[in-house]
Amino acid sequence: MGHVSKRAGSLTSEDGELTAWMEVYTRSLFTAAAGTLQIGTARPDPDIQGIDLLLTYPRVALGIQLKSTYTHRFNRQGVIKFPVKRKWVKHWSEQDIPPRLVLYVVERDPARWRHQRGLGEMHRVHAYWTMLDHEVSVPSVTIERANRFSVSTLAAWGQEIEQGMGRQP
Amino acid sequence: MTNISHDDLTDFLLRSGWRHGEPGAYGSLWALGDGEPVGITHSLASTSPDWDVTLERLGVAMRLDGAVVERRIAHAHIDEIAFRVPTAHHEIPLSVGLALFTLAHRAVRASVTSSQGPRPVIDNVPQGARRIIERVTVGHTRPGSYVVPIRYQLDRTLTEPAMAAEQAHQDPLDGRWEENRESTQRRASRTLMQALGLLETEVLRPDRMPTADVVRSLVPAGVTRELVSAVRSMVVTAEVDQVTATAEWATAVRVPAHAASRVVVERDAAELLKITAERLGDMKPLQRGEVISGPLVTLDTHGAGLDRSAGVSATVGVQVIRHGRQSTVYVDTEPAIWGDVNRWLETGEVVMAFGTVMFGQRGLKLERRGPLGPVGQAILPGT
Repeated sequence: MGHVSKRAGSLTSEDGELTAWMEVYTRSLFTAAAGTLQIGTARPDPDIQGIDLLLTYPRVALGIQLKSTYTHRFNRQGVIKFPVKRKWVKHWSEQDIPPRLVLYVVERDPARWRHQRGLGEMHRVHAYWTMLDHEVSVPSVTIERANRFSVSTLAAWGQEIEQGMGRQP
Repeated sequence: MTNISHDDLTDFLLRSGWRHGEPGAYGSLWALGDGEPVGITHSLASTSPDWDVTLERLGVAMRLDGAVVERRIAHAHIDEIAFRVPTAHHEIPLSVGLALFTLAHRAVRASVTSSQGPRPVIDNVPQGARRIIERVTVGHTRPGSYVVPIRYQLDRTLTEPAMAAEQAHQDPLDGRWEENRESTQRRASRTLMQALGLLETEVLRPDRMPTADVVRSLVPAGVTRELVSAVRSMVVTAEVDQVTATAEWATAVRVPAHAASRVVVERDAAELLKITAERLGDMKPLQRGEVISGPLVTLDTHGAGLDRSAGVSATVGVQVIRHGRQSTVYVDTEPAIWGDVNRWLETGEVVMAFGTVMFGQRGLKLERRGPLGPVGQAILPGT
């Protein structure tokens, strides 16, 4: 990602590696959903205009911003206040379809979430999402524990953006 | 690639037969025929993150590469004439590059001037021509061959009403034929390819010394001594065997009727080009009259109610440039060429005639001394 803020407590020395893991995670879910959702590809677009990935649904594409944290945890109300920069917010507000933020919550020590078992490579991460619409403003965006990022999330996003494109000609 | 706006995109889609449904909160769905709809968000433009993805989807429906779709959108109002020297490498000698740019500059200068009024020799470049030349640009070269793409940005205030008229035209007879009207920039780009095309068909392909009649027939098409000399300079440059000019016409504007789209000049044409340039230089200025040329933009038939199948006399308006300004010169036509007149109107053919332009009741009128005919086929008097 290259632009992960130190204030956000991200693993700046392993930015590249972490970004790659996040892409793998998103792509894995996307691939899992591809058959039923008729999804084409997830195209890496690293941090161009506040977007890291473009999910190409059958008729329209959706921009995704990937972030990660090992310092932020859900509070008692079940939310994380994740810091955002003014320029990110500006980019997001310029998109016709509000991009989605996917936040990966990991342990500081990679050895605690990456394991090799036999022939398998296991990753213990969990991710949450929020919509980056016109309600978003600095200094932070709110991410709810209820918004767990999963295959069903991708299906719900697909339905929502399809409805936003109006009627068939 | 220049920035492409949302309006440029939707104008292109509408011109290409796409239809859109009722829009939603994010955008609308567009479809070509029975094809799969493509989502176009409300402000999608070439700077949007999903631009390339959308081009690919449009390309699938149109059976085109996404890059080709993008080029067609960007070139809606741009005529591009590319001068090219073939090379097997990704480079050419500096001297050849310089010669190619010089050719492009001299060819544009000569043809823009002759587009404002046919002449065998360019003594000076009039102010109106200079204004057009100042707006001509050169794009990036392309790998594979060495290409100098010359671009004419067409005037939308003229081309857009012409497009609308083409779509709306119902009556093929009397009235205005706005769809045939050209911008001054299109007139210039069309003249360059028309002149090079006629040089190729009348002088280079026959491969014999051009007669006085042939040389005289080149002038109304825009051929000048300076243009021919510029082409010759290119093919006699060391290490150049061939030069090509290829036109890519603006996608939003009607393609010129009968102007060449590709002209190839080989090195062994140098002697023919030299003699042609000399003969153009020896031509005396036309006496007691002027040559007008341009597309037909109005038609008035005489004798309403007559059976037109046998031909009728008519008055046509020819769009010309006189004294640096766009104007219409009216010319009477006889029943014998009624069929030709209809064809020229339908196709936007550029015609020419010689005579004296005078002020009439309706405006400028040509007292014709010679036939009215397509450029390159009609011959000037004195032959």
